[in-house]
Amino acid sequence: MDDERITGLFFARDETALSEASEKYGAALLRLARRLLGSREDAEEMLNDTLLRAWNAIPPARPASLGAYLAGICRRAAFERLERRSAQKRSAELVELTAEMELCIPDPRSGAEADESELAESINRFLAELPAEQRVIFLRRYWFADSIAEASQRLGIGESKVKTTLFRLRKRLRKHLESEGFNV
Amino acid sequence: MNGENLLKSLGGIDERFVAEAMSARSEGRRTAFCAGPERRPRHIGAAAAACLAAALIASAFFASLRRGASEGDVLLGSGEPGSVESPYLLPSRAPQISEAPAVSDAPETLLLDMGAIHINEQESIVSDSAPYFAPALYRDERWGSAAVEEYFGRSFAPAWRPDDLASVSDGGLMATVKRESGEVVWDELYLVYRDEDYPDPIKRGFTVIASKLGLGRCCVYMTDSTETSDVFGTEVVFGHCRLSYGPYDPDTHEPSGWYDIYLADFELDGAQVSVTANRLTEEELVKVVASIISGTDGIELVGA
Repeated sequence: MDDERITGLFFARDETALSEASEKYGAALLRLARRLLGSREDAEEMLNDTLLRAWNAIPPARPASLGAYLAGICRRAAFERLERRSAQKRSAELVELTAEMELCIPDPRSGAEADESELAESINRFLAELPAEQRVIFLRRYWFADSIAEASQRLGIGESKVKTTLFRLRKRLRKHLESEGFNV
Repeated sequence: MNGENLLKSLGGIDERFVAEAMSARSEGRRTAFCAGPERRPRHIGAAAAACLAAALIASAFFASLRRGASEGDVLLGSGEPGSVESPYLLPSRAPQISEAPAVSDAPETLLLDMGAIHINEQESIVSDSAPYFAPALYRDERWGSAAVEEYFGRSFAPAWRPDDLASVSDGGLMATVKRESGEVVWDELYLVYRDEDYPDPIKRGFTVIASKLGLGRCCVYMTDSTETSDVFGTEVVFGHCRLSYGPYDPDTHEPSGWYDIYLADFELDGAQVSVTANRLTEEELVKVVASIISGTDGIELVGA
């Protein structure tokens, strides 16, 4: 079923919207949550939570891309859960991603906090300047938490190219953040 | 802010970018970017500009062929030198059109596409020590530049290097070890370029090591997976590692700082060559290596 019809079911308060959304996007959402949270049980809980939040938000929300909208809810919910956990309880994948992200921060030792929405806006400007392929590689890794092998396979390019592209993009993001005053 | 904050804040980015990445999937060898900002009409102008640029490059290429490729510069792509897809054109491999007279003595600039350069990220790197040669059986010799060039049949001194780096290896002296019979059993050309005024214990600079007998005491080796890059027809393995340096904090074990080390390994005219760079940028290292291979300093990196 296409996104428009599923969204229509949400608007009609028809509960089959949930099963249709789960059938179409459940596997991707489970994988995303599992990589961030590290356990299948937590990921399944996150999927249910995502669908419930979507049910409560649509309407009035009418997402342009249902998949991206649901993935956004799932990702936010996963990070909310992570915030409630102690720092030690992090999946190996998340620790790896976090370490890579550290390389984009101009001065990670400063300890200063950055406004999250301002940061997101700045990253939007950074992403808008990138060629589509580079932007997709960046997002597959740092938004969807793909492994290098998964991103490589999905995009049909070599793992080395994925690694090299990410390496360069981290350096560019660091410069970009610095130029926009995120010296934190 | 830490890495997790930054990772989390990515959640607030434009949903169009997320949709674009969600729908991107390989279709055979090409990746389809089914949705996203590129489809917006305002980008049609950029696409048209790209087509126009491609057409101009192609026409410049054919024009250069007509001129015997002697004027100005050439070309981007991949494939055999001299073909339309060639990423570069070496002076020695330029298409030879005998009836086309040289129009200009202007030096050629070689273009190198950074998009085709793979940097292999290394978890760690390892070093080795020199073998021991018993003085009773072997004798050491040091060769000057002329002997070195005669031995290798070429120079390994980079034709280009960053302005702040100076040679500190006296023009290419080389340590060799010979048996009493005169047979060379150890050959190591060791060229060092450094910024002696760099305000840090780890100086900015690079070394070039070359050997026909095999690099037995290369400073560092890449041990992780490697993919080669094509630099003017020579396969090169580029690598990168981020290393810490001391003194280390006695309580937290935090290092005094970090620096980038870039590596390049390749074979050239029967010699193994290894370039190790401290605190150089990726672009600087690639340009140094390209200048060793091509023998010219007229190199322009594109797509950097």
